[in-house]
Amino acid sequence: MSLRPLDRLRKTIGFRLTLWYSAIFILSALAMVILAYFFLASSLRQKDHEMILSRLQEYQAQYRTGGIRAIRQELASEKYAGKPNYFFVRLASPANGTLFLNIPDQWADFDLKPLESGAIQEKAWIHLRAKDDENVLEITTAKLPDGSSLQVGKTTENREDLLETFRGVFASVTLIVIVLGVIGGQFLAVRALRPIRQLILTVRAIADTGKIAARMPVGQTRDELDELARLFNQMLEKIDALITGMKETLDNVAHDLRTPMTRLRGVAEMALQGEGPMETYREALADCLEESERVLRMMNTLMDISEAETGTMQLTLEPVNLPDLMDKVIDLYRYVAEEKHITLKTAYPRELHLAVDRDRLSQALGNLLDNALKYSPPGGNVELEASERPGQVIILVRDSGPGISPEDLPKIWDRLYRGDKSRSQRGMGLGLSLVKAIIGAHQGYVEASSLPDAGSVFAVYLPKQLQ
Amino acid sequence: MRLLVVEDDAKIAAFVSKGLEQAGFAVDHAANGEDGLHLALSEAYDAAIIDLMLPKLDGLSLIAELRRNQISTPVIILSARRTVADRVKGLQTGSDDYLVKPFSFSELLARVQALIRRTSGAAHPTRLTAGDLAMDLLTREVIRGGGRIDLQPREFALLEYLMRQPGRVVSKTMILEHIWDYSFDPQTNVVDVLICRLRTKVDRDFEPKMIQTIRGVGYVLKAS
Repeated sequence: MSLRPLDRLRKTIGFRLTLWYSAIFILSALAMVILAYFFLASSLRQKDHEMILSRLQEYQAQYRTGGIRAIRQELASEKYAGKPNYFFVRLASPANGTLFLNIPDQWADFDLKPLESGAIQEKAWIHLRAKDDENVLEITTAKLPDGSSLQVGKTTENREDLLETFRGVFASVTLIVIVLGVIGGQFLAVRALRPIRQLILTVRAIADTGKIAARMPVGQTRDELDELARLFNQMLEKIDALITGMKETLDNVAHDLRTPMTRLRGVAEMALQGEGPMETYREALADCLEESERVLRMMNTLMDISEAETGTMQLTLEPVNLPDLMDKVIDLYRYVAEEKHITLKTAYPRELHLAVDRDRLSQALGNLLDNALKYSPPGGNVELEASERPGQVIILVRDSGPGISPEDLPKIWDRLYRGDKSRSQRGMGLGLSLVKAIIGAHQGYVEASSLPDAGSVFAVYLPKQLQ
Repeated sequence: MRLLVVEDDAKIAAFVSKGLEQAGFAVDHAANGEDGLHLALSEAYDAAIIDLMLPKLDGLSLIAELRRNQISTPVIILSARRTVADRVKGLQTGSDDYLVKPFSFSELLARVQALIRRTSGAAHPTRLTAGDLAMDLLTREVIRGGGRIDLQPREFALLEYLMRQPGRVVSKTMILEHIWDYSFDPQTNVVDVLICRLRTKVDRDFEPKMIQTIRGVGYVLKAS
C-alpha cells in the first residue's frame, strides 16, 4: 500500500521527463569535468617531463665539460642562488653502481633499490613509489659518453597537490551540476507538461460536471501542445454543437408531436365515450390513422433534418445530370401547378453534371418547388433555373408569391417557422429547414431574397465536387 | 397460398397473421431468426415477411442463408430503419421488397399480393376492365359508359395501377413509388391532386363512383 503513491509517481511523464533530463544533463556535465581533469593531469605531467628532460640535457652538457664535479658545482650554485632544489640526480657507473646521488631534503623517503637492481634503459621512465605517501618519483635516464648513466627525476608532489585542489573544485562543480540538473529537469517537465495538466483538468472538469462549455487555454507559441489544445477545443465545439442540435431536435420533436398526439388521443377518447352509430367509430379510427400518419411524417422529416445538420446523414454521392433530376422533380409537381393554374417555367442547359445524392437533392428541390407553388397565387409563375459557375452550380427557384418581409427573411430556415400570412396554408414549416440541412450536407448553401409583393427567389449553391 | 411471417413482436405478428389469414393466406409464424430459417428451409412458401431485428439470427443473415440454399421464395423485409442505404442493403442481400415500420397492413397486403403475382408470372393482359370502365393497354384507350376518356400519362399510369388490383387498397406511398419512382414525403399531397384529376375524368359524370378513398390508408378501385 505504501508503495502505491511512489509507483504512481514513477509512472508519470513528469517524473520520467525529469529523470531523463537530469540524467543526460548530469552525465554530459560529468563527462566534461572528467575530460577536463584528465586533460589537465596529462598536460601537467607533460610539463613535468619536459622540465626533467631539459634538466637532464643541462646536466649532461655539464658532465661532458667538467664531469661529476661540474654537476656538483651546478647543484651547489643553484642552492646558493636560492633556486629551489627540486630534482633528483643520480650518476650511475656502467655497472649501475651509484656514483653520485642528490635527493632534495624535503622529499619523502623513496626506496632507491630498484634503480640499482634494474637494467638501465635510456629514455624510459621509471616510477618509484614513496614509502609513506602517495607521491611518485619520475625518473628518466641518459647515457653518457663514458658508459655511465645520468638519471634525473622529480616527484609528482606539486602536481598532485594542484590536481587535488582541482579535484575538490570539480567535486563541488559536480554537486552543483547535479542539483542544477535535477532542478532543470523538474522545471522543464513542469513547463512542458503544463498544457497537458491543463488538458487533464479541463477533461476532468467536463467528465465530472458534464458541462462542455470548458475550454483549454491556447498559447501563442503554435507548438504541438498548442495544436493539441486547439484541436481539443475544436472537438469540444463540435460535440457541443452536436449535443445542442440533438437537444433542440428532441425539444422540437417533443413539442411538435404533442399537438397531433393530443388530437389523436382526443379523437379516440371521444369515440370510446359515445354510443354513436358505427359510422362515428369508423370516422374516429380514420382520424386516428391520419394523425398517426402526420406524426410519422413529421418524425421522419425531423430525423432527416437533424441527421443532415449533425453530419450523420448517409449521402450516396453519384454523378448526376442535374437537368434530368430537375425534370423529374417538376414532373412530380406538374399537376399541382396545373390545378392552381401556375405556369412552370424552366431555364437550364441540357447537360449539367455534378456529384450529389440523387434522392436527397430531389427531396430538397421538391421542397423548394412545393414551397414556391404553395405561396404563388393562382395564375402566377414559378421559374426554375440552373446555371454553372467555375466549381459551382446555382439553382434558382423563383415564385410570384406575396414575398417575405425583411424581418421574416432570416427566420424562414428555422424549424417550424411560418410567415404570418401563410397560416391558412397547409404544411408543417419543416420543408425549408430540411432544404437547408440537405444542401448543407452537400457542402453547399442556400439563400433567399425577396421583395414584398414581388415574389421570392431561393438560391441553392452546390459545389461541383465535394471535398 | 402459404406465407411465412418471421417477427419477434407478438402483437405485430398477431395482427399481420390475422390480417393475412382473413385475406385468404395460410400463415406460419416464427418468433426468431433460427426458427424462421428452419421453417423456410423445410417448407415451401409462396412468400416470406421477415423482420430485420430478430433474436438469434438477424433478418439479413436469414435471407442470405436462404439464398445460399437456393431457396428463391420472395421476401418482404420489415424494418424500423428507413434510410436509403438500409433499403439498398436489404435488396442487395436478396429480398424483393422493403417496408418501413410503422406500416399499414393494407400496404403490406398489397405488396405481398404484388410480389406473388410478379413471381408467379401472371399473364399480362392487354385489356383491363372494371364495371363499365375499360382500358386497352396497347392503344392506351380508356372507355367508360361507351365514351372515350382522355388521360394524361400519369393519370393513365395511376388508373392502370388501380385497375390491375381492383378491390385492393393502395397507399399513397405505393402510388408515389409506382407512378413517380419517388420515395420521400413531397409535403403537398401530389397524390391527392392526381387522384382528384383522375376522379374528375373517370368518376364525375358516372355512377357508381369507382375510385374510393379509405381515409388514413389509401385508395381503392371498386367496380360496384
